[in-house]
Amino acid sequence: MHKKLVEIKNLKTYFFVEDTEKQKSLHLEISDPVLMELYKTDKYLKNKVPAKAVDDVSFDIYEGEVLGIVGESGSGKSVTAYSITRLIPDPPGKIVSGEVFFKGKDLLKISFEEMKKYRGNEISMIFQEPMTSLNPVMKIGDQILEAILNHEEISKEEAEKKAIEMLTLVGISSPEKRMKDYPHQFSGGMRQRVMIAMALALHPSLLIADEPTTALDVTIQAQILELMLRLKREREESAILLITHNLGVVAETCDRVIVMYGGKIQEISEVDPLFEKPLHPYTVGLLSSLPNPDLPMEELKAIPGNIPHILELPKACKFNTRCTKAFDKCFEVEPELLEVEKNRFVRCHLYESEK
Amino acid sequence: MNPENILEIKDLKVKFPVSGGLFLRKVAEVKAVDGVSFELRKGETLGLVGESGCGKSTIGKAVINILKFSSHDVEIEGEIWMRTDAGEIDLNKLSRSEMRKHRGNIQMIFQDPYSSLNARMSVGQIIEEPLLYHTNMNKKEREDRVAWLLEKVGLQAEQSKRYPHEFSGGQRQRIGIARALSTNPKIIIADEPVSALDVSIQAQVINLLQNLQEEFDLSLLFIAHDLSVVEHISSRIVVMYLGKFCEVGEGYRVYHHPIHPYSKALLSAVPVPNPKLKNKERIILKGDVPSPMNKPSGCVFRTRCPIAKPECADFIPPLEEKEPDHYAACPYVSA
Repeated sequence: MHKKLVEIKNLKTYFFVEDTEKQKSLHLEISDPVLMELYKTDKYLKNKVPAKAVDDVSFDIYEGEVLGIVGESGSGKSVTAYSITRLIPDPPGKIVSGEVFFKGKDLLKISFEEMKKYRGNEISMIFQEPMTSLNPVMKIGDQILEAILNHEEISKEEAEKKAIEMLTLVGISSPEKRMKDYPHQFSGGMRQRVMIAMALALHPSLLIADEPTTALDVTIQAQILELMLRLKREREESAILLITHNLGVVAETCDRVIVMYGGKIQEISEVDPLFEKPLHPYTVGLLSSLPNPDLPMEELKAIPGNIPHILELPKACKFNTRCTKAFDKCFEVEPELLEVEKNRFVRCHLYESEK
Repeated sequence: MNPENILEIKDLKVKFPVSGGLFLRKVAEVKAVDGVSFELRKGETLGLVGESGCGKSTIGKAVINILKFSSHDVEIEGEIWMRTDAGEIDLNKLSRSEMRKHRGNIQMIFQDPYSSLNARMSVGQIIEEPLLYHTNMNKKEREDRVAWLLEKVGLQAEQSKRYPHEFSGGQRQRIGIARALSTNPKIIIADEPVSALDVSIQAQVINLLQNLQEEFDLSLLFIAHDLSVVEHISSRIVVMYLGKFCEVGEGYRVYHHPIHPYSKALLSAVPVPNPKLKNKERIILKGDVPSPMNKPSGCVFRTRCPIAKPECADFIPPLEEKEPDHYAACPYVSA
């Protein structure tokens, strides 16, 4: 196994939202000492309740791997990624507790100025919306230059050369000319290529891609995924954290997968065993609700019920409202994330006896 | 009209003007749909797939005849024949008020469950509204029908007093379906009805649509970009590219044995949720879809086609029957 690049321990990121009704009963419910302390010291939190977007998440990212996080909307997958780079808007969000070790240094303990050195240089991000994540009134070339010059002490000419090199690398034709264009002159797929060029210009060790292909058509999606993987292969020690809801994308690109639901990790597995034999009832349901091209017209095995609202997450197991295998214990005790096989973790009471 | 068909579209062309210059004169036009003909058979689901900008939604809107009244200066040519109890009519020739009489028979489900429901109306009012215009039901009958419809789509009758913001995306899409079904239509046009939903909810809505189709004997035009969903629900599939049909055929055949080079590339680009097929041979198309304002001459796909020949620039390939009931618009391929 490769070296650990990132080690995330007990990360909790909450969003504090106003809800006077729930607030009244809240004091009785808070058992977490960190949270209690926070409520005592922070006046802003008066009349607010915590929405537990990421609730006690721990995992590692190893050098050279593509780690996927899958989950449906509201599962906490994006917030986890944003917490690593500390891009959580505060207020209303707050990283309540936890540790994020990047190459041995806890990113949550350093100052904001220091954090800036990590962003872009060591950790960079690609966002979902290629239409909105570029500055519309700034030339493409200037935007890439800005990213490079902010982090590297090189001359403008050198930076320009580097920007052109990056654009060529991501397959944009006549890059010298396109540097002078504005984002609206680019198509969605090309904008996403520019984002990748910017993200990789400084050779980060970790690339966080938050739904990088969701807004794109399938033929363009195939181009972008191939590009990302090709660029990763060229630099062996770097890792990609890929956040997506598309299980097809996971199967084709990831080495390991984390399945999230209700702000908690429900399953961690290498990619092949996960698809071959999913363990957690949620993963099982997710995979079987996909249409099977060999059995058209057959009724899909959907997961019953709706995704609960983040303020109304059930007690104990977060999936107990929709789980077909739920029994008494599931409504009383929160299951632990247990290693049931080598490198395979599941949060479910069904697998506790096997340990 | 063929008695098996409920809808027959002949040589449909939709052109949007592009205005510019000092007096905003028409300087160019976008042929969003460029001469397509197809039929919707009774009780079938016809899937329409293609990438963004290929004209699939425009076809849906043209067929239901709302385009003419919603976008200014749009030119719609061709015939849209619909079978009704009173005989066959060409929807494209109808005026706004004449069309209104037929709207009860042809209804639409929209993509975005958040913006397609009026936030100021209760769910009951939303579903009741079509009944006010298209039926002679009295208040009690309408209320009963709303309650019945809500239960049909898997919600509770008591929820009719609630407002859309109290529902999740999947539930809102169910409300949209209930509204479309309220007048007992024969044809439903579903424009990306599940693409805004999470996977587990998507499966619920697909199942619901399939069950309701059987129960209400609906003919469904299902527009989507997700090929696996289209294959799952459709009896026949149309693959579109830049306003033209590339391939038309039975769903299973088109999905598993595509003929047209574009359909082949499109299908091979779909990520499969099976890591064992990770290294399957994949056709990665170069470049982007050309701008619809500036389409290539001859075959529209030739700029990205892996088997393009110089001759492809000279003529527009027609749909040819490559095997029974399976058509493709390319002379250089066979089944």
